Amino acid sequence: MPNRREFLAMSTLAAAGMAAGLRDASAKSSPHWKPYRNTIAIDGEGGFSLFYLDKDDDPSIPKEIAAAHECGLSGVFFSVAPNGRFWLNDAAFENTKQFIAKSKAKIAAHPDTFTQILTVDDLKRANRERKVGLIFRFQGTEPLGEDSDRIPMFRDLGVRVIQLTHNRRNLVGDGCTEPSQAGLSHFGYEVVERLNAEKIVVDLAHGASQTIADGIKASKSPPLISHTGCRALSDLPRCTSDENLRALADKGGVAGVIFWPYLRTDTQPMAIDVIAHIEHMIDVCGEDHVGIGTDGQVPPVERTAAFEKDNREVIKGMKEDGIFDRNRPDDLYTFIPDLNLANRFEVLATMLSARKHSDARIAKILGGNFERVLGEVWA
Amino acid sequence: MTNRRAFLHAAALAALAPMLPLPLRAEAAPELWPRYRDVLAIDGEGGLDLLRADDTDAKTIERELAETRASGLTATLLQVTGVHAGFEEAVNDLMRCRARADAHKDAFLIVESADDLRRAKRENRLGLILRFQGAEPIGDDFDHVAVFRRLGIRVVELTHNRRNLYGDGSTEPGNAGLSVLGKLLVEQLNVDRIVVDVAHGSERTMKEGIAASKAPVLISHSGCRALSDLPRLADDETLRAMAKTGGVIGIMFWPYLTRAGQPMAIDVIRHIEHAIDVCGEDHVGIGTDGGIASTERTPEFEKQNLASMRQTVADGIFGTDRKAEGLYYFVPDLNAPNRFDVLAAKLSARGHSDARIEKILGANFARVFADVWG
Repeated sequence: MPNRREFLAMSTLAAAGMAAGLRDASAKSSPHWKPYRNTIAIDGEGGFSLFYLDKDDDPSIPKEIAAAHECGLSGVFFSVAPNGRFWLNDAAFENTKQFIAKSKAKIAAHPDTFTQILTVDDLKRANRERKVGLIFRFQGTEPLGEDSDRIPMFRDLGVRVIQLTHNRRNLVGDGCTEPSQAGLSHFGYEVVERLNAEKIVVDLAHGASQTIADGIKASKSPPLISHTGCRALSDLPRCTSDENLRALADKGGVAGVIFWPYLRTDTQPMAIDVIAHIEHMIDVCGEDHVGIGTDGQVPPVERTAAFEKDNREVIKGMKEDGIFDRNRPDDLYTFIPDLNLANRFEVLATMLSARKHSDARIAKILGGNFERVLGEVWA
Repeated sequence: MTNRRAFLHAAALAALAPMLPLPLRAEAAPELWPRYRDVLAIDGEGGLDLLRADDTDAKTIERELAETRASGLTATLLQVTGVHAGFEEAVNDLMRCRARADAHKDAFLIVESADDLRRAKRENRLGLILRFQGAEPIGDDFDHVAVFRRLGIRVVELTHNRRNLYGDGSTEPGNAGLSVLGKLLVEQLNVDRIVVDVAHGSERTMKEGIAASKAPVLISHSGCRALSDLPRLADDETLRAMAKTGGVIGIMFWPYLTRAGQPMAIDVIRHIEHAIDVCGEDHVGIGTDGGIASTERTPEFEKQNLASMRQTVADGIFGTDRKAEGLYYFVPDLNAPNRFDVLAAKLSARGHSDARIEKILGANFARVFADVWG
């Protein structure tokens, strides 16, 4: 679940979803990459608005379901706890457990569309059965409170990936917006050790540079930086340095390229920027350590006039909060306009293919690399 | 600050002390400071079981009350809850502590203003200045700051030994500074006129806490890193920056004061004198971090103390290569309720002026409280 700004953005997107009309891209004209249907495509951070809806007959649901069938994703990392803006109290712990239960109920209510991923076999089955597999994860260790014994408990509840921090400091480490740029705390080291022991993937996205470096070093199993970009191309704290990317690759991990405005320091990133980050990561880490983590909703955003107006307000707010630099334009989007399609992974694959990347490499980037890490850690 | 003869004399005594048989040392009545009963004496961190512990028997209560009277202290900063307590637990503990103090009105007074300090002195009661060690009870709801001020909290230490959402404690490997939330918390404490205390902080957290505060900052119970290079203590740069805010460092009575062996009164004095050299006499105080009553050194106590020390030493709290044997969480030759009086006499014997001793014993802390509490 998102923070306040993200939630605003998300509900705007959900509301916009009811209206019609795409501007920059159209599903009907989108190209195809032949091996796509047999590729296990995994989004390192995504979601569907329907999981946040209370009513099962909301008019937006049919479109969400249609997008789920169209996206061709076998796995989506799905955040089942609030991100980084709450205190470690018992109420937050209970809310997290409740949201996990609610998410499972939503999956059960749409058995032909969704499935929960607990093992790598589940991913293969999701691909075979053309379902979207949801991989439950946290963006931040806040639901653990001060108790690492909650890690096996959350594993029993189906959580398979835990990101150490969101943007802010928590008891484990610093998020990327913290001025201190602190690394892991004693408790942080304890948590990483326990995540390794309980076979939950350690995710370092959103971390301060030192938290990423410490986390890679501390983890005995391959970590992820599930949704990020390259600092070498866009020198922002939310992106990852070449040094950390190399260390990640040395540990067998994977970094996913995000579809947020972090990919550039000025104007709105487009598909070509996503590709530039993918290609830089391949240069630095090798093709076995690169993936995609959009950090957006799977259904495309319907860019109505109302959406555009609200989006500008949301972006202005994010600039005020220091998420994006104040000098950047107000017409930024937390998606990639020319990949604003349910089957964005396939479209991106055709673009990569046109740039002479091999099918084998593209399959790794689309999900094979994430699948390998999940398999190694969960085994 | 001390003449050479006095220093040599004290050093010679300190060197002799371990060679004297214990009963002889205990029998020798220490010298006292004639002005003690006229000045404000404030401990930057002290405690009493009868205010906090779950299982105090009548005999302990009686002894603690008697020793509280014998202490001649005007006030002590009092930690009112556990170091990791959340909001509710902290409120419960705080109210219980107040109720227990109320049950002995002739002995205690909750201090909420500079006037209360003077009243405590006048009425011969021990003033209790309620505080947190670690700002965890505030959480991320800064309305809690005003709530706690209403409930009597007058000093908030940002962190205890470990990391919290505001900063790093001194035992953390990351030496983090203040977080965004930590900076906002310092602002809010300034606004609500609660004293910011950076004791227990990592080096960066202390420095950044001092830099962020617009009001005088305390390092309520600490020591000088220049004399004993442990992360729990404050380096000279930190001390100078703290003094610039108008704040005070309280010298603590824990084994941190030395890198080897048990610290004695002479070590407390060395830290006081170094702090005076670095900060000036207006910025030095005493924060024992021990019981106000003396410790009864029964065989059972010695056994428990050694077990506890072994664990603490094994955790590396007092630095590497430390021997647990012979260490105590108090200063053995100041293990009496009137330890401030005895220490004052020792400072006087070393040539410190009465005016300076008065500041160190409590006037410096009192100045900060008057400045911040308004």
